[in-house]
Amino acid sequence: MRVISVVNYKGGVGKTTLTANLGAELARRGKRVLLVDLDPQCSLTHCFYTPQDFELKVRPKYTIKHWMDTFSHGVPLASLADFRVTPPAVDYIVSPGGGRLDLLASDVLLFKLDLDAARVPANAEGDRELLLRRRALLDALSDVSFPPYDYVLLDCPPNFGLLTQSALVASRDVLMPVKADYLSTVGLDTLYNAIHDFRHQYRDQVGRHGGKHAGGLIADGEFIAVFMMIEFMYRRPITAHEHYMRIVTTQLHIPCFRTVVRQNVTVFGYKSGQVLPAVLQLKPKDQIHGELMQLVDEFQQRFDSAKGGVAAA
Amino acid sequence: MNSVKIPLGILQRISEFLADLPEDQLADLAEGRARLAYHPAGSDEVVVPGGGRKRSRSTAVRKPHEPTPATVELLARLDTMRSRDEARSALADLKKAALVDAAKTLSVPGAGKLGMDALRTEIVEATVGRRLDSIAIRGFEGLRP
Repeated sequence: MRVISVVNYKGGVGKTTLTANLGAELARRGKRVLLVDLDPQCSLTHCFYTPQDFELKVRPKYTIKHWMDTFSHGVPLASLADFRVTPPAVDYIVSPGGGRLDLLASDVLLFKLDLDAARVPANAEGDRELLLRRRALLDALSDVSFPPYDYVLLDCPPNFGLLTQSALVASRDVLMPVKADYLSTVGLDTLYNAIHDFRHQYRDQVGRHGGKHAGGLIADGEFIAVFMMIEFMYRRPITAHEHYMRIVTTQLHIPCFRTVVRQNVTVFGYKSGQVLPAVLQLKPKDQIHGELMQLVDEFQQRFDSAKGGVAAA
Repeated sequence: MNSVKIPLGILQRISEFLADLPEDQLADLAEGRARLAYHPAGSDEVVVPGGGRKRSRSTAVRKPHEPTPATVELLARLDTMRSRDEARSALADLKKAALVDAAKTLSVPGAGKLGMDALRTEIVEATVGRRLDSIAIRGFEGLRP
């Protein structure tokens, strides 16, 4: 099982678009995929459920918030697996090929998680509870009773709160969707800074409580940028995008996928009632379909043969 | 064919054409990023309304800029430098053609229209400058967080 966080501090860079399309196409290719929507905006959830179905069938019982509501002093009292749903429209397409796509849906009230964490007492007991909350996702996915998946993709919120922290603790690798402009490339450095500091804080915290996560956060996994929302002219990214794409590779030394995802509001701007990601809707002759196929090919070349596992495994 | 049948026939051909078009290209047409043109059978040229005859853009490809060996060597040296001043010194004696070549290699937008000082600034900031900014924001020099 390969657990990968899709992270960027910056909003609107394509985290959800990347997660939904990667997950759906991997499942169509026969992989078992779990998507986890950690963003209280629920964007990933709404890629697979209409607002009505979400309110009636998912939100009352099956969200990651329900699982977190079972926590007692940082320890969940229910299995994370019990809160998964299987989006029916995607399942209809992927199950004949042996694939599966499950979702841990989000809830707008997840935003309270950071407020709750702030109320944890500033003493040794509170510090231990915070550690347990940070590693709850890791422990749940590592549990031997948790169903096996080829890939778990964690769609993080555009901040560095407890949800993003718990995703990073659980992950082996990090995908960083990024737009090819100045502020987005600065955002990559800001993210590196935050992960660097958090890794030290987390290791210290583990050390204080004699925990088993001594191997370190994202010990030997990969940090990879994926250029999203790229404008093309004459079959190449426009010069302004190429400028920043070059800077990311040659000056920031961040590995990048060769394939980039182009800007297209019509294709990637979700409409009401839409419950399939673009990759499952487009015709094979569509240019964007071909590019998404290339992206998934590249993803699989990098990760299919790689040793799996969650961060500490 | 009478005056009614001609436009009906044209509309039918356009409908058939649009029905077969991928969704992203339809969107480009609808939102003005692409337009319909007249392409006479057997001709390499298309006629764009109001624009005369032009080569089809759909087949046009922008070639990457090919730097001179001197530019390749210059950029390699800039990648090893540790300060903006050092980089500026390396650019001080270069002629405009060399600066433009370096800026185009770095995909600086509008490189051909910039003055010499602006070219030097763009080259420094796209190399040493951005690397130093990155180290400052990250708070460490390693390649992994």
